[in-house]
Amino acid sequence: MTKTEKRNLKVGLCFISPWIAGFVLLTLYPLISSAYLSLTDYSVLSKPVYIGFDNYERLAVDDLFWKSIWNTFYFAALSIPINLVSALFLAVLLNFDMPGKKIFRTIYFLPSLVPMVCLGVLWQWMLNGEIGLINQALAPVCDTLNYLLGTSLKPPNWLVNPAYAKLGLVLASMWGVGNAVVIFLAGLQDVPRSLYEAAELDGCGFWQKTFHVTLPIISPVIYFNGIMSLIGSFQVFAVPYVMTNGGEGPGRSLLFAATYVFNKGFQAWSMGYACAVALILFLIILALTLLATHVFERHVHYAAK
Amino acid sequence: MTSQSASLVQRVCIYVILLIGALVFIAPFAWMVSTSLKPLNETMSMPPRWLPSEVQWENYPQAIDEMKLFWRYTANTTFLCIITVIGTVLSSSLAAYGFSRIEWHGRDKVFVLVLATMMIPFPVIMVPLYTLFRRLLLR
Repeated sequence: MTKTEKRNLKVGLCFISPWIAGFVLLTLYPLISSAYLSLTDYSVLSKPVYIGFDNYERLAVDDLFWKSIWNTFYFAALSIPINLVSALFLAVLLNFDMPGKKIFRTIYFLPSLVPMVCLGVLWQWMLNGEIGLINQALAPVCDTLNYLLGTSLKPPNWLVNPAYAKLGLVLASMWGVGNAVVIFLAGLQDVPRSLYEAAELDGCGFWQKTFHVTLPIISPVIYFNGIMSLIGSFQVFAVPYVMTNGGEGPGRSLLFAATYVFNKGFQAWSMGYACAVALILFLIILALTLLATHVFERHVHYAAK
Repeated sequence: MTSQSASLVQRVCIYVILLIGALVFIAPFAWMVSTSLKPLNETMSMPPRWLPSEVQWENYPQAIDEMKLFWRYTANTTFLCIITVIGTVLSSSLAAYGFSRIEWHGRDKVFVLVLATMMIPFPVIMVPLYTLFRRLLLR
């Protein structure tokens, strides 16, 4: 390396030294430690005892583990596309020039600032079978449908009916799309106006403009939001945990992978097993992220710098 | 910065959709505020009412009293918040400068590592972090 390169290396490393310190102490060490602990039998009261791959053999046949993985995938499969599409939809709408657009943007962003514990408490109320706001709003809808179609629909008891608990959680997560909306908005505003004008000159209507100009240009933003959504939805823990008062939901339908790790680690005190489950979760997220990156690589167009 | 222009009809439609959506998004907040000012027997009444029959401002001081250690909790949270903000802004700005303005060997690979750490689910590092802090603080 030349002298300048060496100096640049030193200076660069100095600048990121706080991050390096944090990374080594609070990420790398726990990661390695967790990998080692997953091969042990560790309850905090006694020292870890090496047992090889026993934990992994146990979780391969553990019904609750598979249930938690299924619940996590189910929730992610629902919430990722719903949140992405609704965030993009809202962002496109909020991108139009109109009076009060700043107020609208604030209103849509505000719910994403609510702390997760408060979200859990709030949505425990909102999804209540009798007095919850959601069912209050659904009641007239069900009544009209019943009147028109002769069916006998009722608003579901979200947190008591195992079939609807995760849907209720998806509703709760939709309230927090503000984050993604703001990021989409930033991406949308980077689309050069000249492209829209060129499309209009060619006779494009709104939908054609959206599909052939907007979507390709913001594809990196969609990719980013998609990956963040993926990572976030697989780690969902706080909101369902608080919503069920630390339980697992009706028929264990709100038992997610992260919840299972927490329960095994801090309630059953089998930390080694918990680490094994957590590592599996990490590998799943890693694999899905790499897969998503690979599949969508050719659809993501980065603007030339 | 580009915002799209649209015909009047389109704008009215968009405005209506956004207005309905905004009301839906605000509804939980409004319900929280309205419930917080209701007397206890009205909070779970059927059918639910939006406006409390009598606005009970005393609910708030009462809630603070019942929490007993409310000011302690607030102080803890504020302390944590200040330290976190200062620490994060300092460290992030330094690191961002180091990653963007200085060309050094292997910079891009380390940056990919930074991004990859966002992917690590908290439960993975939760158990060792717990043990680490337990040992640190029990001395």
